Amino acid sequence: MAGCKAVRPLMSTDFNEAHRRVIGLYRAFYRYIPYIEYFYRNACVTDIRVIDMLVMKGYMEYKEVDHMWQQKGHVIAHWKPSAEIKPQDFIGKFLAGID
Amino acid sequence: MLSSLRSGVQGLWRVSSRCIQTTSTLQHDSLFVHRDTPEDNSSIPFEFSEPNQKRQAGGWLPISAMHKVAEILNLPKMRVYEVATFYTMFIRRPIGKYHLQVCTTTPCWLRGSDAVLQTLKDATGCQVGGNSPCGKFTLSELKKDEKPKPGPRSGRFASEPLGGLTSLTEEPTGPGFGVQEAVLKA
Amino acid sequence: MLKNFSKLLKCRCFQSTSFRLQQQQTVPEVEVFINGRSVTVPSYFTILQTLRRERVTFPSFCYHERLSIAGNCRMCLVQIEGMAKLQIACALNVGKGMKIRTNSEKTMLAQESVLEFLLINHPLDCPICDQGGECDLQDLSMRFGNDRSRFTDIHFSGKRAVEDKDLGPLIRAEMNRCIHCTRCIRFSSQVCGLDVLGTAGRGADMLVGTYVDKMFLSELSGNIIDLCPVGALTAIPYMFKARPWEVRKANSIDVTDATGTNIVVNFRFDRVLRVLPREHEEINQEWLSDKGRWAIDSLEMQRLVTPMQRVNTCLCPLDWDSALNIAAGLIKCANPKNIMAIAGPHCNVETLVAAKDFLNMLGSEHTYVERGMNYSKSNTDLKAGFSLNVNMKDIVKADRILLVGTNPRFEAPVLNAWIRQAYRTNECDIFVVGPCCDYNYHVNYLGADVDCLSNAASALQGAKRPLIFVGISQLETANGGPIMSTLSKIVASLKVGSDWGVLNIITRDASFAGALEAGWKPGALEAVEKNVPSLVLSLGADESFYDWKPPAGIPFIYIGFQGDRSSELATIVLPGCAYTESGGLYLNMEGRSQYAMPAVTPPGMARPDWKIIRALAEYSDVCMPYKNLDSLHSRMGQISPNFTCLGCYQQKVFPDLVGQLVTPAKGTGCIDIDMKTLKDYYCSDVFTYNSSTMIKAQKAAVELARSSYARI
Repeated sequence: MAGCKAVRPLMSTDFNEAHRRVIGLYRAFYRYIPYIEYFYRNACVTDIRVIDMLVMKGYMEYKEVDHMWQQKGHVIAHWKPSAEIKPQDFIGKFLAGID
Repeated sequence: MLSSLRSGVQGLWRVSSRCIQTTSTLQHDSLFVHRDTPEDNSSIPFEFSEPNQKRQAGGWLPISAMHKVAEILNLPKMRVYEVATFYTMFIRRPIGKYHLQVCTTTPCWLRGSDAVLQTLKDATGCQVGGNSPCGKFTLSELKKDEKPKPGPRSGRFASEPLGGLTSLTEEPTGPGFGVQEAVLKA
Repeated sequence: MLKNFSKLLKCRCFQSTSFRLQQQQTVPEVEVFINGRSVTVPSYFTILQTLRRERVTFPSFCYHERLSIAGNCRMCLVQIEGMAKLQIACALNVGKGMKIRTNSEKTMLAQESVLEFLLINHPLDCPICDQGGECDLQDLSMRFGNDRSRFTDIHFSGKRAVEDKDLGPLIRAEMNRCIHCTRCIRFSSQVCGLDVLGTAGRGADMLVGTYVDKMFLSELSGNIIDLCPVGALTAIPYMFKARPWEVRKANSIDVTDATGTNIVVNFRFDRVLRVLPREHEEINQEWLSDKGRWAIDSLEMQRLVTPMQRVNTCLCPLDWDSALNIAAGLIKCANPKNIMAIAGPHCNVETLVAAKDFLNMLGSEHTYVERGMNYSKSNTDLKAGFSLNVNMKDIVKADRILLVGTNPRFEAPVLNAWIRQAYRTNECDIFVVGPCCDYNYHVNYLGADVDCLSNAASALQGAKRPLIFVGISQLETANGGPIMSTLSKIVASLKVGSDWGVLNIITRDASFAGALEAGWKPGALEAVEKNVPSLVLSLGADESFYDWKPPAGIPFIYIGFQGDRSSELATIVLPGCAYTESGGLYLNMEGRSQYAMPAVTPPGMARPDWKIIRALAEYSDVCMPYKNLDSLHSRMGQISPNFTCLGCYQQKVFPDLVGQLVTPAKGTGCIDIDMKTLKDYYCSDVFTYNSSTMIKAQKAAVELARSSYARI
């Protein structure tokens, strides 16, 4: 093919290798799912009704993310809460100057 | 041409709209605040002595006299100032021996008070409300105290013509005057 | 606590209505008709009073319910059926069956015309006028005036022009705007007792002013600004600062004297812009002393905004954590039995209670207020021994008054207004034992010596409602005992009802009654001389440290808002709040507790005083049982029910015991008063001499005293 320039590969040398890498990434994402904080945070819940409620809410979240109804800020907030916790005790409030 | 037209129109407009008629306000010829002067200040002592009683402290009322009055009557000074400024015949500045007062209200003004005032100004060198350079004369305007007879001085009673009536001179006609006979009969 | 407060307010309103009903039964009533509606009013009512009571919107300028009736603004012209001409409602008494027409065409046309005449000579400078937005002329023009002007200045001769008066550094007189209502004149002559203002000239030439070149200075002078219905008199310190709709308001209590004057703090963002009086029928009517009104610029002077520690001769800023650590370290090292707290004049009860609790928990009993008082064995157990024993509003009923070593005109201007009212309306004779002072009523001097008190007995004999006022500063001296014992004997010899408290003490500090109620002791200076404290905690106290300097090596913690003598000497400075920032409870000289609402947030790192004490306690390993205002107020309620019973005057118990417990001694020498004339009034304490406005006023007072027109 005239005009085609031979370049150094980034990682994969052929299509199969690239395909393997894609499958690897997919698996990595997939394996990470149990480690999403929400599952472990609620690991202690034993009440079935509560579990059902959490599952329903989880589906809602999932669908909102999936359909991009949630915006960037909402999605980021799942990983990093932005609000700092305000002090509750007298001295903490006093030093922070909060009434 | 155009400007005269415009002013004419404006004049018409003014008459037709509800305007408050304004004239330049006539201010009294004396001040209603006290200013310390070498002749009149509170540090000049005042007593109701023999000469003062005779000629009322030179014909005018110094501030120290007001203070003395307040002291005698045991009044706050402000209450004395109020009286002294309220009545126009309390003169609160030094005046000359001869106090010339000219009435300049409308009747006198129509009869030529301006000329009288001007003559007096020229003769004495006073301005209205001021003293002559020699200090002997004081000129001021006043309003005449006598009550004038109501109505014009020409012998008229109201707004009737000066030379007698020019119309409506005959006896008033009775009812039915000038009506067609046929109508009357009907 | 606030709930209590509103309940109380309701209760008081109810009382006043029932009182009014009782009063009505005793006087004959007449029936009048307002626009056809039948109304029954006491026969002494004027028509305007009737209209006001019936909430009929009716215009007036010169009428003011606390001043005499002038009837010269003609704004309240009203049609009365059967009278050929319109009448002024403010000066016409109601008559039987009078038919008042406030909404007839004739009335409305008259009101419109009066406003038109007033506006002919009133400058149209509302955009640059300080009164804009709170101007009676604006409001009434909107409500009752014509919607278009007929005033066309054809000859450009201009409106009436009057030269401005110099009334001093506090009041700006823009006399073009004056509508000659003469409220200021009546106020100065009737309430201030200074016949300085008046009208000069007449008719179109009439001027309101002083006639001679003279300032109008009085301890109550600021009230003429509130009285002025237009922008002729405005406040110089507030000049061009804000519009009334921009400012936010907080109901507060004045702390520059001990009268407990009700005020409204006007603030915008984080600045207090001005202070206006709030009506209280039993304390201040609607007046406010000049100090309370204008010393507020002191709140921005020498403010402490960050905690500081002394390093050699300097004070170095710190953060709160380390400052509290250092302070707590000092407290832990000091002998807890001899830790001493000294309260300043502006402390609220919250601070006082917290500080006393803290010291008591540490093991110390040394909590003192600056002012001394040691005339009695009972010390402060009897409230009657250190407060006003008569309701302030009842002073007006007195028929003879004896002032002993006090000039209430400057020590409690609002109380003095009541005395002057008794003098004017009740023909009260006033006697004075003490030096010659500027009083604004006629007094009979009985001598300045303590021995002269014996003459007072005959002066008061035969009076039905006599009152004796003693200055608190007299009770600090050795003469306190002799004065009080002589006076108690006089009181015992008088025949008056037991509910009439004859012997009253005029206190000076806003914190005094609250502190003594909370269990603090008077006489800080005596206490430090008796035993040397191991640590001094000053709560805004400065005055004492001009006389006494803590010896080197004694740690000194200052909690306060103003950098003065105390912070100069302090080891650690903890920045506190002023009364506008923290608010709080204050007891006035009657012992009436009133709550001041906080207005602005404290500047910088300053914190409310009681919180500082609470935090300091926690750092010193002392656990205090309250951590917020609610629990602190519960604690205050435990100490004294008076702290939670807001707003009411309470009768003092055992007033006659005060006399029996007086330390008997022989008095010698003369009685002296520190505030004799107006010059001494403006800058009398640390708070006021840090105020530049007050310093200007004092300079003006000195200048006025030198002027040849000073005497009235």
